[in-house]
Amino acid sequence: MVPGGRSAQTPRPANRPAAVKKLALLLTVCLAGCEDREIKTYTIAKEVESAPQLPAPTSIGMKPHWKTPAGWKELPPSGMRAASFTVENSKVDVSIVIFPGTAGGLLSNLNRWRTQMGLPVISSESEIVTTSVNGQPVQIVELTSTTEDKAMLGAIYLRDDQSWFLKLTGDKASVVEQKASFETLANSFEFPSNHKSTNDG
Amino acid sequence: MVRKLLLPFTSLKLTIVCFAFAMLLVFFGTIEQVHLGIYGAQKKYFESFFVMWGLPGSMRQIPVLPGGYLLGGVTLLNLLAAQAVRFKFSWKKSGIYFLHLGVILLLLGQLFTSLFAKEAQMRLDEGQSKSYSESFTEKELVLTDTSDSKSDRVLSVPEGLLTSRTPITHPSLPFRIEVTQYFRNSTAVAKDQVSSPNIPRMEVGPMAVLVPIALATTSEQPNAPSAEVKIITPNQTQTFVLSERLRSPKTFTVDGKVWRIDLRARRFYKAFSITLNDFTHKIYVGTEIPKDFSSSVSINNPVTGEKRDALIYMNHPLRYAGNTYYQLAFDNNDTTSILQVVRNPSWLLPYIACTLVGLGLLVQFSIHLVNFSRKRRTS
Repeated sequence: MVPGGRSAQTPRPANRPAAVKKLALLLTVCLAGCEDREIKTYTIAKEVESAPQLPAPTSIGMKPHWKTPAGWKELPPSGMRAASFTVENSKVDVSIVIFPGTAGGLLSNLNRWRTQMGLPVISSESEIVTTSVNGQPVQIVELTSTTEDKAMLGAIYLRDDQSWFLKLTGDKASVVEQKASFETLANSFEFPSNHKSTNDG
Repeated sequence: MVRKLLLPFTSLKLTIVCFAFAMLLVFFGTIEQVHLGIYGAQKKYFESFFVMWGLPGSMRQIPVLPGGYLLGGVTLLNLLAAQAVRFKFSWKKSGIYFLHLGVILLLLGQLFTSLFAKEAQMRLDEGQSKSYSESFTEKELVLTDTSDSKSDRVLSVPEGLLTSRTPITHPSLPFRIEVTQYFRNSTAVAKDQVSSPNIPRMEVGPMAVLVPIALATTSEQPNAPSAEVKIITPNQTQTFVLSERLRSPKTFTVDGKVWRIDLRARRFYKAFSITLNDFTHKIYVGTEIPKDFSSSVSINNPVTGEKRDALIYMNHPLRYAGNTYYQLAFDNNDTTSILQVVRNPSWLLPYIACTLVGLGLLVQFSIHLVNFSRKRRTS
């Protein structure tokens, strides 16, 4: 299997490195020429572009399951919203927004919401109550503006790879009215833990 | 003259050096998969001429090992040169000829695979049909003319042209495209969380911005590019922020025709479609240890009229129309199957090469055995 069985006596030529270099250079040039920089056109059967799903690269992470509360209607994802909901005879806006990573952490996100409601910011995470839903830590908050007729309910699921924000906003009366339904939604969140590559083993 | 040129490459020492480096390359290349992922390690160690290493605290990179192309090339040359210059054919050594031919084919097969093989993935939800696969790494900006009621006319601009920032024109486009910003990998963050005003960004909505991040190293978290694109006609300029992270195709109208613009993983369309009927994921009872994954699919080829079902499972891919479909991964609580689609025109070469090597060994040992037993009988 080894070529040149008698090559021990071969005189070592002085120009071998140069020859190797030239060969490498030649191959580099050949391979570099293969790079694809061409505009292509083609015709395909009419495609109905399905509603944008969750952000493609992060959807490889875990999409949780949730239960849509009675009287609510789930709308397809759009932009950064993984889902939106309309509520019968109510003007509240409900969204589930997904951010890659921890999106700046718990404190800054909660303070962002507090600022939107005209509330003073808090300085320490120890002021935030954490509960657990299906084994997953979650922060559920109710923020009511002291200056305007607006309020919000929020839930934050921070995970290593993704952050999920549930948010319900509206006038104070509507928010109070939908509080139970919002809690049903927030408490129904369940993250599967089974995206695995089948060639891991 | 040719002989003189080839002579330096016939050295047995060169062979040994190549083999030793190959062992090192395989060892370090395997270890590095932990940090770079399979794709990154393959590019750095095996699809390169030199393995480069960055000096700590410096941008300079120095070669530390010969790469796969260089080693493979030199080994191939070494083998061919030795075969041409040194070996004289005799029946006694015919096995070695087969053997060497096999090794040459194996090396060439690897070269052809890395040059011509295309790998992509097909992500199918249960019940979903697709007639295209998507690249793991390549991206494209697509402009789709949706004015025809039966078909879409698609124009695909490769990523290489987006990063170079040159204005893009094409005879089939009634407008000019300018990419004003391009992030090869990006993420969305809340506006007030961008740490420095110097970080480039693209606005998406009232709260969020897209910012560039480090390039991806694993195929499970691929790059998600974002682009700020201007569509320019003599009368108007429209600006769009597109991002694979947000998967948000946009539409616009030029001369009464509706166009769709999107930034996405590069697609490879086929003349047939594949439907995922069912994905099954079995585990050993009482454990989380996977036992079996399988995708039941249907092929529908309107060109040939062929309609048939197939089952894809571990080590049992589907070969169809020059492509091989392997079970790669799954998602969404066992309702999405991810197939790896490989097009490798030289897939048969390693099989032929191994057969030749086996045959060569068999012939060579048989010759030795016969000679040996003959000698024993005569003595």
